[in-house]
Amino acid sequence: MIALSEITKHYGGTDHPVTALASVSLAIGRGEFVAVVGPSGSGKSTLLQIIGCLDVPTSGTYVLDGTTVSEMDDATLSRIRNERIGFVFQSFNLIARTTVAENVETPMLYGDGRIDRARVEHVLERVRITHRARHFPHELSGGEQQRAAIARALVRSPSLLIADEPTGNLDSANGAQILSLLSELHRDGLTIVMVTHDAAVARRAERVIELADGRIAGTSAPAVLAGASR
Amino acid sequence: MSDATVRLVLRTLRRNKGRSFVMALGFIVGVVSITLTEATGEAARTAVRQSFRAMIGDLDVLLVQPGGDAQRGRANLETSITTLTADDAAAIRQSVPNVADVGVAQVELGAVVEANGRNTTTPLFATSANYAVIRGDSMAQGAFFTDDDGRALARVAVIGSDVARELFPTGAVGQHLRMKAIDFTVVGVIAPNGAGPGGFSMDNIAYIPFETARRRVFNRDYLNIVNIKLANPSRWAQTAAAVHALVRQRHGTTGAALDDFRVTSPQAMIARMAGVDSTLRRMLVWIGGLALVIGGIVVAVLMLAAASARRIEIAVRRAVGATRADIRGQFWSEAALISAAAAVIGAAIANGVIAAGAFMMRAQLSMPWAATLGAVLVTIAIGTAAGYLPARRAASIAPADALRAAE
Repeated sequence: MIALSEITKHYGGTDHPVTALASVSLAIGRGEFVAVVGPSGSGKSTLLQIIGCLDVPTSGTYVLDGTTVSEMDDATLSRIRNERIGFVFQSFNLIARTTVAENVETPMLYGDGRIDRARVEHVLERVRITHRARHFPHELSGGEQQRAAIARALVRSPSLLIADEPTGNLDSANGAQILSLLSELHRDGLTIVMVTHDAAVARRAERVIELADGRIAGTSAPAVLAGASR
Repeated sequence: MSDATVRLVLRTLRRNKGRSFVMALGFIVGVVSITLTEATGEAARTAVRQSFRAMIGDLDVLLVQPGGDAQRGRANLETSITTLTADDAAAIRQSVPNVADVGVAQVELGAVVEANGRNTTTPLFATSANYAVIRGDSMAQGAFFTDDDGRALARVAVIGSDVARELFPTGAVGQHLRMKAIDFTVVGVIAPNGAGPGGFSMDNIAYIPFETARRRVFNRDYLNIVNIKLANPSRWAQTAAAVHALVRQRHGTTGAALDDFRVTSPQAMIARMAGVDSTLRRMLVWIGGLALVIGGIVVAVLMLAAASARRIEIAVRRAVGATRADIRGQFWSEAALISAAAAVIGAAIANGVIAAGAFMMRAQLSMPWAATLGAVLVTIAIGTAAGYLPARRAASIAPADALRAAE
């Protein structure tokens, strides 16, 4: 599903370029649950943003579902993000002064512009936050905010979920809830790429990719099969 | 601007009421100020026109009066310039095109009128019989005197309603009054005209036949007013020029010599007196325009600030599928919609103020729709222009950078 080959990403001007990714090649199959680990500055987030079509590589090729996304324009990338990719962030990133239901509707605005209320209801139900639909983000706990963010990521039925430290701002109980939810989604067929620096969290994934200094330092099979610990 | 974008923007504006209000304020002030300035200007024009109507009657006339540039600065034109005559009036009637009728008048501004042991002071007009028709006066009682009255040097008088009320509380027609030591019989009372420019009542007046006055009362030939009724009022300027040339020639004024008479158009005088081009009025319009410009600057500054403050929101929208064009459209619509809303609110407030003013002060205020529409359109144009740069700035935010900074 995802095929990265020789992906390099530089930041900054040509004078003092900072290399975030150096010639990373990686394949992720449909329905896989992959964790990306590594110390800060190792290029995890950059890799995730490139996979999520939020950023484009300086060089290299990225093929998503048979289409070469590394050559696409803004409008096409936006449509791919809208239709095929869901995002979950460490700090939730719900839009302020916008209710949970309105946050969840947001991706629909940028699709055909039609708001499918039944679909919104369905995903709110799925993440068990229907009772908070009319609330504003600041009225929610961290766990609730992250569940709302996951609902927003799911509303357009993406095939790929990108999660950047999804439990990083949560206590262990709420973190465990979110991880169970991700495992459920994975079991239902969603492809998940998740960045974490927590080994316990990474253990939920089927495969762990370790980054160091912008390169893949190792790939390990999961110590415990996803779901076995539940 | 798609339906969904409009709904989204309206929601943003609604949920940020304080900010929306500040963005709208300059525009509201501008539209209100321009509308009210225009409305009061129109009201001033109407008021002046009404007072002139009371004084002059029909405004589609030209007035020829003695005293021109040659007499500038001299007082008492009533009796000191003796060159304007009935023959001038007859010549105008005969040879100037576009003249429908010509009336003549001798005037004494302060004549004492006595009757029933009372007296009052009034302007006394000795006029041709067509004078009331040219003025457009109507009669409250009786009738205006006729040409026959003039030819017979009849001692008849027509009085204004103030004089009638003062001297003849029980009915004036058929009664006698005394002016300039001569007895007159009242044959008519003019219907009330109201106040003229300066607030004087135009109903304090007395008319007697011109021929009677010329032979028996004033004992002079020269005129104080020639009142020319125009056939086609829109050609007043050409007609005024023709009258001017004719009278100048008849008075033997040639070359650079100065006139001893003047030709005036009430319409031109009204435009001057209404002061619609006054400095104050121009300044008010400028202030309104300035408020609109300041409003535009406020919108631009606040939207630029919002583009920075809402980096995460913008990045998230981009992440879930918004294109650069979507973000640009959202910000631009925000500026356009706030300015449109502010313009409409401003127009509504102005409308309310005008309605309240018209009601409370019984002023003839009405909504100057053309000016208001103009102000509304200018406001929307300024608001849209003000949103352009912030919209571009917002659209140029790289979602990857913004999100990386947030984590």
